[in-house]
Amino acid sequence: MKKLLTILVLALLALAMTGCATAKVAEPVEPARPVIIGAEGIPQPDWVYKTVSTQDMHFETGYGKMSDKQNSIKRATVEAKNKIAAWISTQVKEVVVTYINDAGSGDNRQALDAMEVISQQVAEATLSGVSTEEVWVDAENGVWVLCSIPIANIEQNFEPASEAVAEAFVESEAAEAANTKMKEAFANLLKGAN
Amino acid sequence: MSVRKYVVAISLLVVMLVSACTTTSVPSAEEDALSRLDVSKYPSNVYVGLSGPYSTQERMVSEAILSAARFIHIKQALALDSRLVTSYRSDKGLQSFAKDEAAFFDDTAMAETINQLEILEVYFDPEAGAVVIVKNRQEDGEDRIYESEYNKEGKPTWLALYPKLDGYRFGVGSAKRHYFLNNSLEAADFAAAQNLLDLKTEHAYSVENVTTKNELMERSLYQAQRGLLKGFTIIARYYDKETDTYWSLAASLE
Repeated sequence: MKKLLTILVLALLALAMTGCATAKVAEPVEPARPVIIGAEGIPQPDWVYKTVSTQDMHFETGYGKMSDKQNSIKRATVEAKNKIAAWISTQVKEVVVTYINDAGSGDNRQALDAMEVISQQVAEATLSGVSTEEVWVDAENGVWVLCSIPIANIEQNFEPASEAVAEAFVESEAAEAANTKMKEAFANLLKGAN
Repeated sequence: MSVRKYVVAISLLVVMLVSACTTTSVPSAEEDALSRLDVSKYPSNVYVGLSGPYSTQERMVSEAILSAARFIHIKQALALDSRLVTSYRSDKGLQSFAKDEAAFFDDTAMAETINQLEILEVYFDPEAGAVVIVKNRQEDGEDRIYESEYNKEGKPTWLALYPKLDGYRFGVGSAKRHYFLNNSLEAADFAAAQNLLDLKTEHAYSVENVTTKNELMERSLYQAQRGLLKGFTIIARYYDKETDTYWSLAASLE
């Protein structure tokens, strides 16, 4: 009996030891990325191709390649700010129209479906406290920027900022005309669909 | 003719020949004018003003003093406004990229500021007109925050990389040469201020409209931004002869 008990205890001990052991799983090795050197001799930073995120800040990247570095920076920051605005507020309207052409009979029957989609996406926001954290110039002199905005600034009321910039925004005649054309196209499409 | 006279004549000829062969390294007008505007060896309460060419020296000096006083007021507060419209079509690429930018400063107490100035130096330069170096007695003089470093090609490193210094922000601006030097520099300074606004925006309004019909995408983007810079100072300048471009490095308080 004593021998049996000893064997039982040893067996349990062995089981417990096996249970605790963690099998070492080989970690997937990330393929080595080629080092890309920019125009100013600086290697491409991670944020150019990886999303950066923290709990208190929202980050977006922007790219611009214009006739000179200054305008490239301007375009890149404009694109990054636009992405932040899109992240805060985006509205999408979509109209789908399907045309069906039905011709023939029996084996010759042919059905043709054509689909047309018109979509309009508007991203509009008032931003407060956008900073450019990093700038990187690629080998073709294109400029990449990493911009950030504090999440707290997005959550708070934007009224003062909104008032500050509202007067600056006057829609151009061309934009208004383009909008009217777009609305007409929508209306015509909807008429055709009914 | 005596032997002595021959020796003198030959010596003179040799001196003339040597003088004719020697090339004198004369700095270009731009480099010379810019080096005269460099006040980095002075404390931070010393400013430089330039007039551009005028018909009289008196007028040039008074314009240069005004220009220096303007820098003092701009340092106190500079309000910036920038608006941009851009449109893109998927079949044609970028259609427009138009910007409208402005800067404002308070000049109401300009006379009072000028009264407090102590004139340290006055130069006259064919390109810059009068150059005056003045000390603002209303302000404490401190060490300059940044000194330009140069790469192997002799270009300042800030052309490629923004300097980093706690408590300050840096912006770089450039402008092609204008007819008068003061206008070229003002354009580069203005661009540096706008660059500071692009890099850190206090308030911005952004609206983008994207329309997709069949396979054609049209996109229009409008952005307006405003900001107020405090402690705005031009801390270095550079003239790139190859591209005929003036560059300004500006700093402002964080």
